[in-house]
Amino acid sequence: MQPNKRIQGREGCYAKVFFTKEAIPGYLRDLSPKGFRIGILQKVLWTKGHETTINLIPHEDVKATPFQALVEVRWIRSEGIFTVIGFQIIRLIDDNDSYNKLLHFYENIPEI
Amino acid sequence: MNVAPSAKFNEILKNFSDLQLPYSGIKQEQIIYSVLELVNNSLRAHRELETDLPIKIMINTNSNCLQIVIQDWGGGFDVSKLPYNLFLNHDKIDLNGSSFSVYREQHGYQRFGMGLYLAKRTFHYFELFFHDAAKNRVPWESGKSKGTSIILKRRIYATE
Repeated sequence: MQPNKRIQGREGCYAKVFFTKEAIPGYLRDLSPKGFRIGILQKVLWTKGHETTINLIPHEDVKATPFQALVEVRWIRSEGIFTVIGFQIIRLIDDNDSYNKLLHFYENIPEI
Repeated sequence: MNVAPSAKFNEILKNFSDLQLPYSGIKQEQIIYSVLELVNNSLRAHRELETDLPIKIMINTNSNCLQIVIQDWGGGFDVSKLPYNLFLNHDKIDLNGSSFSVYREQHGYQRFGMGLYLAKRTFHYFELFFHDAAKNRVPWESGKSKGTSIILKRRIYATE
């Protein structure tokens, strides 16, 4: 699966994530209003369309509370020691505007 | 590059995103995020100690090596509190082990305990030591060691 190049407007960002069902830690690498890219340090057997739940933990400077998101895998690729996964957001859970705060905090930060 | 403890993390990320590192066989993103994990550790330590001293990040390249040095004044830390033995080779460290899950729970999932591990995996050379006020190497001792220095090196290649 390849990343969807049509999705534009991604911002570079920094946040920790935790896949709650699978107990896998990961790192948010970019985000857009509709989805984001996450790097994890292990292989997974997920395929496009796989749904899972993540706990998203913003950096303390964002001043946003951690929240959960139901997400769907769009693509997966291997990059060095990382498995990098593009996710589409299905639904934010107990968000309290945290995702908007994240988007705003990292506005205009280019992808690294 | 100096990072003030009061700097907001989006400003820090922006500064790193402007860097152009020489090709070292992996994506620049992996190198920068690995360094950012360490910078974030330093930032947290500086803020906890309420010190205004900057975190210093020195990036140098020569014909065959990228070297990054991170020097902070965060007081150092007890390496035995990490969820793994820092001095073990990475293939001997079990990321799915209970010590990591206990560590994450103890820190309310704000810390994963993987920043140094990630640096060891990303760079060909990794060295960590603690220093005193005069920047002399000292063993870690609460209140006596004043900061942490980390030296990272990775081979670079002529073309991508």
